[in-house]
Amino acid sequence: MIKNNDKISENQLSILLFTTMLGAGVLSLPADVAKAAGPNGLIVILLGGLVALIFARVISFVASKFPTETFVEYSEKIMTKPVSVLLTVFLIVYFLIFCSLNLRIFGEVAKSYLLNSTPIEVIMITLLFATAYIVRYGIEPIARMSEILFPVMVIPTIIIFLPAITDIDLSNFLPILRISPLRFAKGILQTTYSFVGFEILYVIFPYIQLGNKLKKSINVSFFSIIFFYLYITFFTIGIFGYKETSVQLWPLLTVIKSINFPGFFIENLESLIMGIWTFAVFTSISVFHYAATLSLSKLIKAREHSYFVIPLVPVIYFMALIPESIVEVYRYASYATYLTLFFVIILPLLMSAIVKLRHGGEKQ
Amino acid sequence: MRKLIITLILIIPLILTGCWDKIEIEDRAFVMAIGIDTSNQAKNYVVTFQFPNVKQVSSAAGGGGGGGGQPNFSISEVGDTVFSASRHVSTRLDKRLYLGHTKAVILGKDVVSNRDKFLEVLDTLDRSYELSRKLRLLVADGKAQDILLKNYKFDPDIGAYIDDIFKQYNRTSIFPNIDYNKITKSLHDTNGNAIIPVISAGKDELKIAGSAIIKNYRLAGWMSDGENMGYMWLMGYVKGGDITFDMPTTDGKEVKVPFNITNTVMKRQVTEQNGKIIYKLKYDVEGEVTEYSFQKHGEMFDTNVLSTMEKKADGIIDKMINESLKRFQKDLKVDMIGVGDYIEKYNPSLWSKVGPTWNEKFPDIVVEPIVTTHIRRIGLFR
Repeated sequence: MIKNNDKISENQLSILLFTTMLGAGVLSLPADVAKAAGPNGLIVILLGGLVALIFARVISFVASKFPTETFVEYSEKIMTKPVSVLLTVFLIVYFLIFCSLNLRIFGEVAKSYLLNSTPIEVIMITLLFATAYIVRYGIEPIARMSEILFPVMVIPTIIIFLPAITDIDLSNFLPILRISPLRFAKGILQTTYSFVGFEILYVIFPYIQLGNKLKKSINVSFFSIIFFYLYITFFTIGIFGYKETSVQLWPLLTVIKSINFPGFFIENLESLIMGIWTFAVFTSISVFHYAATLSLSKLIKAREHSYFVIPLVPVIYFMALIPESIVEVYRYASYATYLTLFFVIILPLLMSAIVKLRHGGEKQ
Repeated sequence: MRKLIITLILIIPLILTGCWDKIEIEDRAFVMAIGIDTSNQAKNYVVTFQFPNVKQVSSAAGGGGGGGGQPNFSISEVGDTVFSASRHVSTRLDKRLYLGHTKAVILGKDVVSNRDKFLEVLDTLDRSYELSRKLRLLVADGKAQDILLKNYKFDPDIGAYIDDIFKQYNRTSIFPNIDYNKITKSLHDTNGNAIIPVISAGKDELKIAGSAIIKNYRLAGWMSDGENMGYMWLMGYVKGGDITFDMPTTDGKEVKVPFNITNTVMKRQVTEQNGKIIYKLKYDVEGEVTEYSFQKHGEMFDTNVLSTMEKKADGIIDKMINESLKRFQKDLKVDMIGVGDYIEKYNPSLWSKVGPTWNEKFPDIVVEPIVTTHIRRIGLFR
């Protein structure tokens, strides 16, 4: 048995970032980009991913100045204590929001496709207890779990789509760059939200065995998720065209329905993709849950984060049940993007500016 | 402590009894084909489900034995919506309908003639969690119920039968190889225009030929077999099939010669000259001649004869295309041949000019098909 020293390597960080970013949003991603940028969805994903990468690097720049501290502590040094407390509370809420959004969307999809008569509460609680179990043991088991699940998620997804390659109509991606620059920029910004999850970099720095590959591992995780998103969107828009994709709720599941797998017995692959996607949701939820628990325990200066795992379970659960319907879930999700705007773009820029100014001052 | 553990162990099995959604396989009815008709009575729709007799199928696979009766069952139900009909079936059937394996959905002529009902039905199909996107959507020339309730001599399982017929579409090209996925895409892209293949039933067999033209979510007309092939040419869907042309012979007679298409390549181009849009279609058709005349053995081994034949074939294909084109441009005045789509994608600056009023512009565009046929093989005699 490997000893749990509560530290992850930089390679593990790379996989952890990938599995965190890959969550419930991937089901609706092609619809979002088709709506935002029409036939140029692929370009928007690429650029949106690069924008997200830049901000991830900004966050890691700030956090790496304080490698032994989490956001709770170093934000106090950068800004003042009251601001820091306020921001930390918001950050915890932010992690909890994404945790519960993922959970609710998982429940809705599982209920409508697989378990029609099972109450959604049962589906959600089961998953939540599974994540709470792993979160209690800290970051390392989560990272190891991600390492195990990563190939299980990625390889089948890539294989499942291959038979559909003949159904792709490449002209669905034309015309290139004929939409207004403003709409295009907005599309890039919206796609950046699909990469939500790298904000965990705010809090997990003390748990990384820092070497010299940190930047590389962040790059690797971003490029692999950009590739993964591009792959899925390429098939979805290539088969449906952007007009139809943009009005679908979960295009990823619908496109699986339209794939003709050779052989009579393998039909209705959406249940397979849902199994894979359950792993994706599981890893995302557990990382968000962990980040929220960790921040909370640091804020209260508790000795161990594991005390707060179970108390947060009902919080996440009831937050997930707030939206009345699936329509409202996505409305709340769009509200959450304002918080994303703050935590992903504004705050990192602000903090890095302050850090740079301070450092400049110290040198003089 | 030990008692507590034992109690817990005894309690755990109670909550592990299985899931809410368990349905045994013999309690499911795997619907293979659905027929949807309108009803004149109080309810809106008559929906017919056909599913195989699982008992008979399993006993046949197991090497005979018991299990007799009909190979499959059909059941019809009326309802205000298609969904409610599918639920109300459960008052008359001891099995749960499962639509995940449905191969074909047949819409009655009345459904596609009524815009509101057609929109309702399409939405039901689109929103369904179970229905596959690969299923075949067809229009019946009469009532869908009549097609599903008949007994057929070849294969009683209509859903699978239809699916198999579609697999060999390129032997004739007289019905469009369009599945549900392509139909909804077309309806979404053009806001209500699509071509749907037509199914008709004889006394004890089925036929898929021709197609129904849907304009603005309503049946606008039918296409016969020949016209349908013209449409297939315009869309570039033709990958096989046969055409027949009259070949004059040296002794002043004419022989009917079949030309079997093996492959075609279509190239498109759009230009604007003096405000007129010119849509050029260039076809390279490859194929083989499979019959000529017994008396003429030896004569076909002549490139002149072949080039005459190629010209004749060009003429026939050209005529097909123009006839179909006339139908769309002059009679129906609706762009179903993808010209607008092509301009939007490959000439976006032109599209921003003509796009908003495309429906009025379409009848006036000039379409220029250029067909070049290549006869590659002539069979086993010279």
